[in-house]
Amino acid sequence: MEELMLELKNEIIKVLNLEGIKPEDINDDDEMFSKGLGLDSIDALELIVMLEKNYGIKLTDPAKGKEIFKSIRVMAKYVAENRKK
Amino acid sequence: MIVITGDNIISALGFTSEENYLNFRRGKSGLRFHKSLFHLEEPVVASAVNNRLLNFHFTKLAEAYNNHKNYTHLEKMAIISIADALKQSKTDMKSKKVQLFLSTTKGNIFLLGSKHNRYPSSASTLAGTAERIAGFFGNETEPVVISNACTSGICALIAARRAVMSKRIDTAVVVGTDMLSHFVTSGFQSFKALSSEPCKPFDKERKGLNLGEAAATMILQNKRENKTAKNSVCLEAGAISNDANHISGPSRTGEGLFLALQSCLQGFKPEQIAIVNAHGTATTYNDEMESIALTRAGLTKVPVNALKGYLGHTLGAAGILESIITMRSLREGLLLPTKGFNVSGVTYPIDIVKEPRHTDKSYALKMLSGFGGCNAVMLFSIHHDTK
Amino acid sequence: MNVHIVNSCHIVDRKFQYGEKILIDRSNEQESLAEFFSAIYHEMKLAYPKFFKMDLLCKAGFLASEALTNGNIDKTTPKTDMGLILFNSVSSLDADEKYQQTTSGEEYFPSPALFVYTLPNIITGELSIRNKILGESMFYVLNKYDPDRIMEIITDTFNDSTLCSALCGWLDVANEEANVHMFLVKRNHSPQ
Repeated sequence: MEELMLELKNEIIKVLNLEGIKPEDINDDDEMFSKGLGLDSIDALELIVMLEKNYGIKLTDPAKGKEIFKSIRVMAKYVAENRKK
Repeated sequence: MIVITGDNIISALGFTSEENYLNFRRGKSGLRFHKSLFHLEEPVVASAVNNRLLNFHFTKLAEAYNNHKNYTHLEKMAIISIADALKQSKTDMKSKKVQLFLSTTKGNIFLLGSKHNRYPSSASTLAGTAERIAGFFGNETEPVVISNACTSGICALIAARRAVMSKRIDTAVVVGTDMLSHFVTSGFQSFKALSSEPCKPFDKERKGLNLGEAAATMILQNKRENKTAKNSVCLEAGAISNDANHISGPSRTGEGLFLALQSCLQGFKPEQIAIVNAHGTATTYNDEMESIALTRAGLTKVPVNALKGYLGHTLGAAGILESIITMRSLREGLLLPTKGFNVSGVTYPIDIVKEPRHTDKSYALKMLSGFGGCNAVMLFSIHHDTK
Repeated sequence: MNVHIVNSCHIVDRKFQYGEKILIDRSNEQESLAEFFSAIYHEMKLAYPKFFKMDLLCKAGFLASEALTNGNIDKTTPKTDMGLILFNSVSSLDADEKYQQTTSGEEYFPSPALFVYTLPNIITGELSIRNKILGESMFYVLNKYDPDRIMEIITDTFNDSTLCSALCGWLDVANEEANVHMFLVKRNHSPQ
């Protein structure tokens, strides 16, 4: 799980162009959207693409994304349970 | 007064403004279900211009103008639209005082990265496309392209109106157009903004927008009040404002739209307004935002309708197309229903037109909002009698 | 003319120029346009992480507008009397090409973050958000850089609005080249 969480942190930094942010700056349980990284609706959509591209997970409802991307830990748990790649 | 002396709509519902308007009035929809448009996996609902009919009309026109060049689907729509509008207006396209204003979001985007050289490289730029369209008619005045996302149509009318008021030109030929493309459809799909059913503006069950392709033209000239024809439509005022909030999502307080409405309403009262024709894309956030802005602007009691349930969102053509239809309906004192609307799904109690309604008022507001935080509003009036 | 130019910023041939002064010259560096813009960002000591999500057109406009507005305007107060009037000839070509790559390869993964920049007026959105500019924002595409035509349209705008100032300019960004001329204009007030 630790490895997956680190992998996700690196992917998020890359895919969302989070300049100057390192994996150690992202806490496993911090909220990614309203506070913390301050991600927005376009970031959420981009993460949905990343889930499909890297892990073969297809999300059709963007509202579900808000739940899954609550924190790195929540996201990692979802990926571990649903990944096809 | 800046008045419309000729207009036209090319869409899935017809090749003239009149044909389109009659189909809108009959409640017809140009939207069709496409299982795999452009080979895209997700099905979409969209409206498309009949290609066979388009080419039939264009061939006749090209013969008349003795022009045998290759024009793209988008350019053909624009050219046929302008030609029809010109029939109503006494305009010499070859005059230096006549200028083309093109409203488009992506122009000939299908040419991007394409290997065939059926068209010259000028067709790949928006300004080049505008020059090709103007050039078909022998017009050599440098055209202006307005590319302001979904608000382009009204923004182009505002820019054109200013140019005529400045007296640098005496006629502005404003054409708005966009064509269906893999590029745009895939993009909106990536935004999960499209509905796989006919759209439901302002409705509780709304799930997103439909795309459409069209061309719409308005020819603008400055006429003295006592010299306008019966049922002349005048462009009274226009305003554009930015939300300064988010590059793709609308402001939660409807800031920009409210400011634009407020500006257009200077010197006018809500009671004078027959109808507000909203943007009404049927996305969750847009329609909600419009209800907020209308309420803040004191327009709660003014009838509101949205027309994207008939043809979908025609992007660069939308502002012009929907304004033509709105003013045609005012000509006969009618307010058209919001196709696709059943039960309100927006927070504020605005008066959404669901069945055809009568009106004896002469002013209409057209609203548009778009990516980039832009909001545009235009106030139109119709003059039923000649002086 | 009903406006006067307050200051100007030009980005041409990998040089960043404010008024007559070349502030940064990286014409001898072997770097991409993105790297060039990052270098300017860091030299200007800017702190706006959203910069790194922007496409090249927006980055160019952002950097030029920062030079024009630093110390000149209050970025925190909403300004309904300030506008954005921008022009170019290539529209959003660079973003168009980058977005298309995400839909035309062997794997089909259209990127919403890239798609949003495939409209040239997004830059007016970015500058509007950064500087709290709520007045008119417009993007025009012309066939070539023509200061006279640009001034005509700006004059028309000021004649038909209550704008007091506007960030204006020409921004052609394509094929790893930038040709940017931005300026801040203010409405002339007739002497009492």
